[in-house]
Amino acid sequence: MSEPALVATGLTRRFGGRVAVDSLNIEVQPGDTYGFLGPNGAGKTTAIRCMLGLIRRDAGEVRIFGNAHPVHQRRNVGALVETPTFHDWLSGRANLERSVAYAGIGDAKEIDRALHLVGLGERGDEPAGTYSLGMRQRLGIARALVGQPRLLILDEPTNGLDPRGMKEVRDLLKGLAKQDGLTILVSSHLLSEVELLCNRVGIIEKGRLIAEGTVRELVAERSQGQEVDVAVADIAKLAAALVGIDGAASVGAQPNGRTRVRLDGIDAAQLNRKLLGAGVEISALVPVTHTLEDTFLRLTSAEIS
Amino acid sequence: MFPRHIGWMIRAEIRAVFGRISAKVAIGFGIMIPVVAALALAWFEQKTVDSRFNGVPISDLADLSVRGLLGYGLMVRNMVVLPLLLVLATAASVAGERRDNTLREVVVRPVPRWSIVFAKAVALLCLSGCTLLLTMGLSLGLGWALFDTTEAIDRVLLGYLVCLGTDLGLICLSMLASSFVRSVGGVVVLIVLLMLGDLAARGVLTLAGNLGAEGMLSLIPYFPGSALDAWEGWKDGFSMEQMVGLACLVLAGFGLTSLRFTRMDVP
Repeated sequence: MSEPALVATGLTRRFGGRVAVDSLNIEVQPGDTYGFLGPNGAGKTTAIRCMLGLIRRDAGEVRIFGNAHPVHQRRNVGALVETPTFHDWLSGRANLERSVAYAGIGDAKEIDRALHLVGLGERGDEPAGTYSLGMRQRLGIARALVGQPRLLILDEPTNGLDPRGMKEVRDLLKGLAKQDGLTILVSSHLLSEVELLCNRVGIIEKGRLIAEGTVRELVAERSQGQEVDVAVADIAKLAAALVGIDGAASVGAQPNGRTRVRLDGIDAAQLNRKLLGAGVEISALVPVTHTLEDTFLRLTSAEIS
Repeated sequence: MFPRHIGWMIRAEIRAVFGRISAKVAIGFGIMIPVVAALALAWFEQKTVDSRFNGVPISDLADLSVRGLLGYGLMVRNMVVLPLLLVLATAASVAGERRDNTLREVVVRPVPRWSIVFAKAVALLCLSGCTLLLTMGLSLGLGWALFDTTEAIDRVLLGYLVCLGTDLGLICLSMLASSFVRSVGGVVVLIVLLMLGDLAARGVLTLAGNLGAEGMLSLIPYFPGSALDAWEGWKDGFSMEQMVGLACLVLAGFGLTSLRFTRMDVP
C-alpha cells in the first residue's frame, strides 16, 4: 500500500488553559477527498493550521507523504486557509506568481491553467483589490493549485460563493481528484457539499475526532437500522399496536405530526401489513433517508450533552 | 542552507515592496532631494556673491561644489523623511503582512521562515539602494552641470555606500520591531521609542564620561543610534567602532527577527 498522503498523530494545541486540538489523529489516503467536519469552534481551522505548520503544535506529529520535515513536507501541499488574502495592488496573476516564487516550482503556463480552472482566465490581469469576495475565493483556490501540489488542504473553499460558484468549485475539486489524482482535505460547514464531494469524512468536536469513515459508513452506523415515518389519524392506536409488533419501536413524534418507527428485523411492507391487521388506518408510510447532516447533528449534540 | 529559489523569492518581494505607496514616495523623495538641493545651492550662489556673515563671505560657508551637493543630498535624505519611509516600508512588508494575513500565504510554502525574512530584507535594501542611487546620480549630474567639479568626491561617495549599510541596520531594527507588533504605526512608535531610549542611554554615558568615567565614552559609538549615523563619517573620517556597532545591529536585528519568525504563530 502506498504512503498515506497525510497522517496527523496526537496533534495537540492549547491556547492558555483551553485545548483547541486534543490528541487528534487523522489519516488521509492518496486519492481521498476527505471532509473535515465540525461545528464552529470545534478546532478544524486550528488543526489545519497545525498541519500546515502555520502555528506551533504542543504535541503530535504530521507526516505528508511520509515526510515529517517541518519545511520540506509542504513541497507537495497547496493550501487555502480561511478567507484568502492578497496583495491588493498586484494583479491576480502577479499574486499567483508570488506564490510560484515561494513554492520554487511552476511557471506561467501553470498559472494560466490555474486561473482558467477557477474561471478567472479573463480577469487575471486586474488588481486583486477589485475582485469580489467570490472571485477572491476562486483566486485563493487557484493559488493553492500552483506549485504542483499532490495534496490540497482547503479550509471552507466555498465561502462567499453563490450556489452556481459552489457547484463549479465542487465540480472542479471532483475533477482534480479524479483526473489529476489529487488528494484533497476539505473542511466545511456545508454538510451537503461534503456529502456530495467527499468519499471519507472525519467529524471533530472540541478538538477531538469523534467519528471517521466513508459517508455511507457514518450514516449507516448512526442510523441504527431502518426507520419509517408513519402518518395516522389515531396516534394512541398506533402506539398500542406498535407494542405488539416485534421488531418495531416508536422513536418519537416528528414535527410534522408523523411518528418515527425504528425497524429491526422487519421491513416497511411487513410493518404496513401488521399495522393494517391491528386496525390502524395509515395515511402515509415513508422510509426515512438519513443524511450526513443527521449523523453530524446527532454526534455533535451527543458530544455537547 | 538557502532555498534554491531564493532569487525568485527576492524578486517577488521586490515587486511587492516597490508596489507600495511608501516605496513610491521614497523614490519620489530620492529624486526630489538632489533637485531641490541643487536649486537651493544655485540660488544661494547667486544671492551671496558679496554677502558676508561675521566677516566671512557667505559663499565660503556653503560648499558650492559637486561634493557639496552630494553631501547636502545625503544629509537631507537622512534627516527624517527617508529613514521614516524606510521604516514604514519595512513595517508594511512585515507587520502589515502579518496583520493582513498575506504573510500566511508565503509561510505555508516550503521555505524556512528565516529565508522569508532574508528575501524581505534584500528587497527593502534594494529600495534603499534605489533611492540612494537616484539621489547620488542626480546630485552628480546636476552638480557637474552647475557647480565646481574640482573637489574630490571619493569620500562622499563612500558615505553613500556606508549609508546603504546604515539603511540595512534600520531595516533590520524595523523588522525586529515588526515581529512584535502588527500595526505599521505601532512599529514607527516602537522605533521612535527605541531611538529615544538609545539617545537617553548615550546621554547618560556622556554624562558619566564627563564626570570622570572615561571608559563609558568609548561605548557610545557602538550604540544603535551612533551606528545608524556612520554615514556621516564622510566629513571627518569613518569610525571603526560605529562600523562594528552597525554590523552588530544588522546581525542582531536579522538574527532575532528570524528567531521570532521561526517561533511565531502565523494564524
